[in-house]
Amino acid sequence: MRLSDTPENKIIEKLNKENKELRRKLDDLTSEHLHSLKNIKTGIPLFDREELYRTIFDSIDEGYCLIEMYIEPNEPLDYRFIEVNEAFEKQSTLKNATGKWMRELKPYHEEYWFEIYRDVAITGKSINFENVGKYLDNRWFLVNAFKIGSSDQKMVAILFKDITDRKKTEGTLLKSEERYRDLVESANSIILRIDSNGTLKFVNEYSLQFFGYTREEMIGENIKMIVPVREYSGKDLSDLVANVLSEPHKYVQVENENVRKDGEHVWINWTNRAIRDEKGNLLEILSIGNDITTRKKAEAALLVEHNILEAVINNIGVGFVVADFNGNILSLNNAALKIHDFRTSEDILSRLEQFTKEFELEYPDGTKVPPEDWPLAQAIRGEYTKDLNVKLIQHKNQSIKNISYTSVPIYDTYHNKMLIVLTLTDYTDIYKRSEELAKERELFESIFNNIPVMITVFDPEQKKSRFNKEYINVLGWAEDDTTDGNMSKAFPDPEYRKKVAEYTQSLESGWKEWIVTAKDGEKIPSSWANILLTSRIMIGIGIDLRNIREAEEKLRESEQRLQVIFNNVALGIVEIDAQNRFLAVNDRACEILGYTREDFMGKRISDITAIEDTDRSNDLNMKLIQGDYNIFDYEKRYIKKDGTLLWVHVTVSAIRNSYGQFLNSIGTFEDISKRKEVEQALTESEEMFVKMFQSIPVGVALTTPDKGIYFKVNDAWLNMMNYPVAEEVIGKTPLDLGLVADPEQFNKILGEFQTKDTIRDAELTIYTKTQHKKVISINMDLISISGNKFIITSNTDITERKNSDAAIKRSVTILKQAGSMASLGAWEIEFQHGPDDPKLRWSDQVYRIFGFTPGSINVTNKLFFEFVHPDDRSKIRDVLTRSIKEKSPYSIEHRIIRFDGVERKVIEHAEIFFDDSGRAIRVIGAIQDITEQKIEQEKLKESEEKFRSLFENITEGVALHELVYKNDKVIDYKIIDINPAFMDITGIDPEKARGALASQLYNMKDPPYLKEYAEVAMTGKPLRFDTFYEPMNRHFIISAISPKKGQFATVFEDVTEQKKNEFEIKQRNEELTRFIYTVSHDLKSPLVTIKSFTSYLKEDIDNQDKTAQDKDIGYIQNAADKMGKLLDELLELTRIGRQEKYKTAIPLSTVVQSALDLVAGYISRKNIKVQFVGPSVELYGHPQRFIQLYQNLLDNAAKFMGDHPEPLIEIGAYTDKKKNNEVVLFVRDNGSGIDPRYRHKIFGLFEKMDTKTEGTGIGLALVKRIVEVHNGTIWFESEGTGKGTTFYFTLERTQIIN
Amino acid sequence: MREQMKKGEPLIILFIEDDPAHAEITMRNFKKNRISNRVIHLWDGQEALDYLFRKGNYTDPDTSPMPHLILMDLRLPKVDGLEVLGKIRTSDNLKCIPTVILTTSEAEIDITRAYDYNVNSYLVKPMDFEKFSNLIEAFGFYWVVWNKYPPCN
Repeated sequence: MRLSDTPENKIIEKLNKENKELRRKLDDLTSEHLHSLKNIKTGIPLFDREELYRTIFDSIDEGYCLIEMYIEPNEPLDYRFIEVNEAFEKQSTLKNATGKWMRELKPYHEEYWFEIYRDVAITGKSINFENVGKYLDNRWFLVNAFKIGSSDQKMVAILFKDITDRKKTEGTLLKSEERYRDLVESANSIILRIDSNGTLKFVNEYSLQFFGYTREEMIGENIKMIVPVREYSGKDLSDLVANVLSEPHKYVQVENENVRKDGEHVWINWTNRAIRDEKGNLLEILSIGNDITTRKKAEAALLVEHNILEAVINNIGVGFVVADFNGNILSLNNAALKIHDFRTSEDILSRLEQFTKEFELEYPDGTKVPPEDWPLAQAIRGEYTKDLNVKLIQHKNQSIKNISYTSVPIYDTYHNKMLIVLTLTDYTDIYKRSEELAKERELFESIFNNIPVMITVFDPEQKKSRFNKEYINVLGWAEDDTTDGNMSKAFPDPEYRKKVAEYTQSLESGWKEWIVTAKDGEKIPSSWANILLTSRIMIGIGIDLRNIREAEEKLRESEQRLQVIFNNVALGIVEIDAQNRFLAVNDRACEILGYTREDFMGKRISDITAIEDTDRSNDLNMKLIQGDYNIFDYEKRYIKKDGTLLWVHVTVSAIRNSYGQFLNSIGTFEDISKRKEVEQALTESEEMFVKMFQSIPVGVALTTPDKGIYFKVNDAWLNMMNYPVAEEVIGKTPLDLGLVADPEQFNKILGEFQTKDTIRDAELTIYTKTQHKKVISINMDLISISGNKFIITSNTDITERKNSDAAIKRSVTILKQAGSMASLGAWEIEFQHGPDDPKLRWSDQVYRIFGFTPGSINVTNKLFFEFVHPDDRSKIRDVLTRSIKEKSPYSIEHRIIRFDGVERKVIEHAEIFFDDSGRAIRVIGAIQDITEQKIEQEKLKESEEKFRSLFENITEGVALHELVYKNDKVIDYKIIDINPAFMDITGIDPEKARGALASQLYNMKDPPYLKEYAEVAMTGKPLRFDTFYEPMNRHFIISAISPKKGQFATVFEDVTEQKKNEFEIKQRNEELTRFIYTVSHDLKSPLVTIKSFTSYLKEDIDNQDKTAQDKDIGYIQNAADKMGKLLDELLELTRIGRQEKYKTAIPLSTVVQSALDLVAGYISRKNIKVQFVGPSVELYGHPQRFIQLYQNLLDNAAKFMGDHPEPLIEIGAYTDKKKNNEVVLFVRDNGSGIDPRYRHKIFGLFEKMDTKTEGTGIGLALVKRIVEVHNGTIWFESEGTGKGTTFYFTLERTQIIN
Repeated sequence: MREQMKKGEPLIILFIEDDPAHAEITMRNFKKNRISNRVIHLWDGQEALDYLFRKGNYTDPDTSPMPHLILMDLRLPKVDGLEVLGKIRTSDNLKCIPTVILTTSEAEIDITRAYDYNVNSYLVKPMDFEKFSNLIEAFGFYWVVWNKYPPCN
């Protein structure tokens, strides 16, 4: 349905127009308004302004008035008209208003008018509004009110316009819009509106019903929800929506498949209308769709019919010509081409006149058929020709053929001329006419009973009718007891019957529709054609039209064609279902194999296929069903009824519906037993030769005479030369292979051979493939094989002559190879008459590659090039020319356009042969269809590229691996590939990694995570884990997935930094927690002590025990000191990092000296020697903190000095070459060292290592804090108890000074 | 490892305390309350483990007999009291020895953890001298006089 034809659209268009009109009017109004306002407000001198102002307000079409509000105290009680213009009266309906109060004029004027003007008068804000005045004649006004004068004046100027008409129109508009909405809602079309993003803005009720969604499910969703990605036919719809949105003008009418909520595909014819704003931007698209699924299904059914027909026509041996009524030949099938000796379809003489020049027809009695009586000419006149037996004489090559013509003019239902179908059967050397007739009779009988067309045969002499099965099925009339050909039953209405009878009697040709009454009373529409035979027998042919109304014309045409074809068919034809069961067979099939039609029914192909061919047959049929092929042909053996085998050439093609689903297949076959016998004999002799050639225990090689290129070598030769397969040798020369050990000796033999054409027992030293030196004795002779000259060389290994019984392995490699070469076609060009007149020969396979039945056409060089893709022709010519010039073989890939029009890719290898004078005499080549191979390659390449770019660019490290097995156990994995990010993370060189075993690459006995990865690669279950990888000292999150069984990819994410931060935070938190709760413990401890000993002290005093007093006081003092120190240090610890702005450079020596001063007593008491080592250093930061740092370290060292006889503390620095020459400071002692068990507690707060030493447990925590505040790190080394300790640390901006 | 206690045999108490002052207070209170048992005082967690697992200086069962009761502080140098407790509780030989914590810490986390390790009793050192004295007295009555000990193997 076209949009422009629908009532909806008319309404839409009208509405659009009205809308525009209104908008324009509104715009005009507003601008007019503004214009007048401007004039009023401009600063013209008062007098002039007064004048001008009057003129304006008297002349404008809008009503104008100046009012004064009466407000008491805040209520707008009334207003008075100070002045009005001329238009005022007309616009407002108020007469002589000036000076009057509004309440005086219209007492009930609505309150809101007063309120609005009151607001304007008080606030001074102007206002624009539309309002209705009930007492102003129910009129609508567009009002602009603004304040004039000073604030206490309460004067308001009002400009207004009667917009009642517009409002009315708007009302109408609203109503019509409602109507439109109703229409849209109730329309039996799908109506959708989508915005420029494809989002559904509106769907009508029908759409919801149709697609099965609720409105909520559709509105706001993308239109893609009803567009499938692909149609059943495979058509890609993924870009459809985007295309429609970007170029809607190109998609005004679209037919495509849509999808319902339940997943069913439906066909919809869409009309899309773009709605744009004034700038041309797409606002939305209105899409109206009609369900055309039924039509599409009918089309699909038709397509099936068409396919059947195509398959039959292309396979039968009967010539088939379609022409139009002007005598133009429209198409010929292969058989028709052959009958006329046309080589290509381009040779077709397209018009009848041309045919009469080229050909002649002769009646059996020798008289010439005048051109006007030719079957085609008769058909053009509307006459049938049936089985016209004539001789077809072709002038050009004087060939004479016996041809039987049938021509049928075909009309449509309205008796319009449509087509002419001519069938030609070549009887020249096949069958006798009588046999043919008998067969035809039989065929007719079978068709009569099996064709799905109603047929009645009425014999007026015997007044008896016969009906075929279809007639009985459709109409139910099984037998006829009337004498009028069942007319009275089939057409019970006498009036109607009369009409039918009249028509039938008129013997008008063509088809006519009649309503036939079935036995059960049903009125069946059917189409009938009548044929009157010479014997006065009347034949009615009827087609049941009930289910094929839509397909009517084409179907009838198909049926007619089928009928014609079946009438003349000469091949065995079988129809096979998806289970390989016979559905139908023609008579010829029965005849060839000796089965009756009943024998066939219920049988499968495998039941009549020779055992040897069963596998192949099943395989091919399966692939056909699966869609790997659409057609295949091969040679096979059928089992005949008498049990003997018969060689046939079978062509099978698949019939599919428009969705590509397999329906059934049509097979045709011909008896090729004679040809097979000959072939068999040939194969046997060839086999014998091959066997002999291969089994003689002497190395034999065939080489080309010019260059000595190996053409064929036997197993003994390969054995002698240590080559595993002949392929390594064929096409190469002895020099290429490096066989010749002594070129001088070799050339001498060749020279001798050129003069004598034979060599006997010459000795030659050669190198084998494995570089073994051998001495061989050779004989050479020149031989000719099918016209080509070769050198046959027989070699005997004299090196191993004593080992005469050395086993000579017999290989069947060549024979196997020959088998696999079957997919290769071979061709040959001969330049017998010079390069300008080449003769081309094709093997059967080449014909098939080009889409021909072997031998069906004469091949020429010109023909070959016609089937080469036009763009590749010159390429092939160039290669051939160059190859001839350079005398070298060539290989080329190019495209061909097959006979059926399909483009294919092929590869050709060819070699050129020259005569003695160096002239090219022959090219022998092989051709192979590599289309599928190529497509696969392309696809692979594409996906590989996609994958690779992803792989290269991803920021995570990705590595692809393959499991390595040993004795069925996974023992390792191999790195297939790693990406750049992987290299960045791990520092592993990709070149080194690729192909390496993980155990080697990572230098580990068991590669990392082998068990986990093996699980992933075997089960395909992805794995993600978090791990610290010790050898690299890094944390990773590793995701492992398996792209393919036995392989896995790992994706690494380096989370070391993250982990480090987490760890630090955790440590800090722990420290803080410990701090808080240990404060309670450590600060309470001295308190407990003080309290207890104070009590003891009291007792001591009571007991006057002086010793105990001193002891207890000591405890109290210690506790108090400890507490004081604890508090000081805690305070210090919390201060570090805060309030420290002042940073400066200070020599390390100064710092250490100050620190030593603070701990001097301790140091000297213990006799500790302190010395500087290494270079002088300058620190940068807070001097006081540095002193604290060293003080605490010295204190710590002194405390843990133990009992060393020569206690020593070394203070110094060095530069770390590994860390960018960073300066590392250290304090080393030779004291008691640190037990490795307590390493982790060293820097902890309140951790004391020894109860006997003094200290609060804060010292080293303080040290660490100071180092961290100066962006450094601290660590220590101690080889264990008694071995001393070294604290190392870094501080920012520390420098070596000289 | 340890024979069943015979009647009248003195209890062996393993006392682990790092603060000399606190050790002195506790010991004085033991004396005052006539807890005439054998008290073995150790100074840190490592020493305690060495003793209990018979290592280092404590391999001789005669001089280092298995205690019937362990009384220890929580915050100990080298190996923390909780860690010591944990090792006692996971050792088949030691887990039946009743263990009492005596500490200044009232932190909930310490109490929770100690009970997680199935401590038998958790005592907080009182600030007040009288109370400290009373505590040790009560401890003596409870653990030395009233408590029945398991026959550990």
